[in-house]
Amino acid sequence: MEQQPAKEPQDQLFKCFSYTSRIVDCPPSSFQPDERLAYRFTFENIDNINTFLPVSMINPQRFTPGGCPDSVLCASFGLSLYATIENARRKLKNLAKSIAKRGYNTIGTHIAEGVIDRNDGVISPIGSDGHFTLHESTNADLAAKFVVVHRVI
Amino acid sequence: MISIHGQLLPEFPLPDLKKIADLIYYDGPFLSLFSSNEGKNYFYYWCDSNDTSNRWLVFELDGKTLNDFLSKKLPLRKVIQNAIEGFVISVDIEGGFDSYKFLNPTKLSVLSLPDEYLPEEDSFYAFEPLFSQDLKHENLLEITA
Repeated sequence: MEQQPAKEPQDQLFKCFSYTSRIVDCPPSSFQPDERLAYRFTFENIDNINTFLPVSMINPQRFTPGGCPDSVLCASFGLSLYATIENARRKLKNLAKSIAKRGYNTIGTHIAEGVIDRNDGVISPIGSDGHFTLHESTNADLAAKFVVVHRVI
Repeated sequence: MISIHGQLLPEFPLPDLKKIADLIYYDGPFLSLFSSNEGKNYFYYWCDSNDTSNRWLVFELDGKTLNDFLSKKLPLRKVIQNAIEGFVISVDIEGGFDSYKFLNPTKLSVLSLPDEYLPEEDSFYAFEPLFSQDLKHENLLEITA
């Protein structure tokens, strides 16, 4: 089947648009489509219903009172990914030391690998810790692309 | 959620704390720093959840303990165990950003915390704080710079 050309960010429709449209500059205009290898925390069973859901779409929402900046609120409608398996492993190991043990049920225990492409949405610049955020397009299906490659906890 | 044993309070006694920063964050906060109008420091530390609520341990800590934690000299486990007066308040927060309720506020001794609620012995700070909008905390900025 002939592959469809990637849509420009302004032409993409995003899965969480009904929520993010209320937030100024969300997804941020600096986010761009890209094709790259990516890593995400998952559970051993990657088909877990929450594995590829943005945190703000999971009930109950984990937040502390007092609000948060729009940039953080916006990011909560995206998916956290890492540029390398080492970046992901380091973060998950540090979290495992510092959060209550039941947190594993929330963030996952394994790392999955997959390739995101320009039709999957737009991504943030990659942070110094390798983290970036993907705002998924309506057509994205990361569950079909990612496979578990590493157990951390 | 795990059953906890303490003194059930008629209402959550710390509803008006001001959020300073999320100190441990992954797809939402796990540890947040708050301040009272009197300048006292408080942590909100996530410990449990069920289908409707997240449970947080809220407790006061002194400035030295905060500094030692952020400068990686003191693990989070010790910070919790050293909570001022030796107690924390467990509170279940139901709802979302827009509307939420404090449920089951319970005062309990740090000695009675389930081990499942405590971080590891070597839980030294290894993250970057996310500051709340329009808030400055110069000491924190210096410590984490």
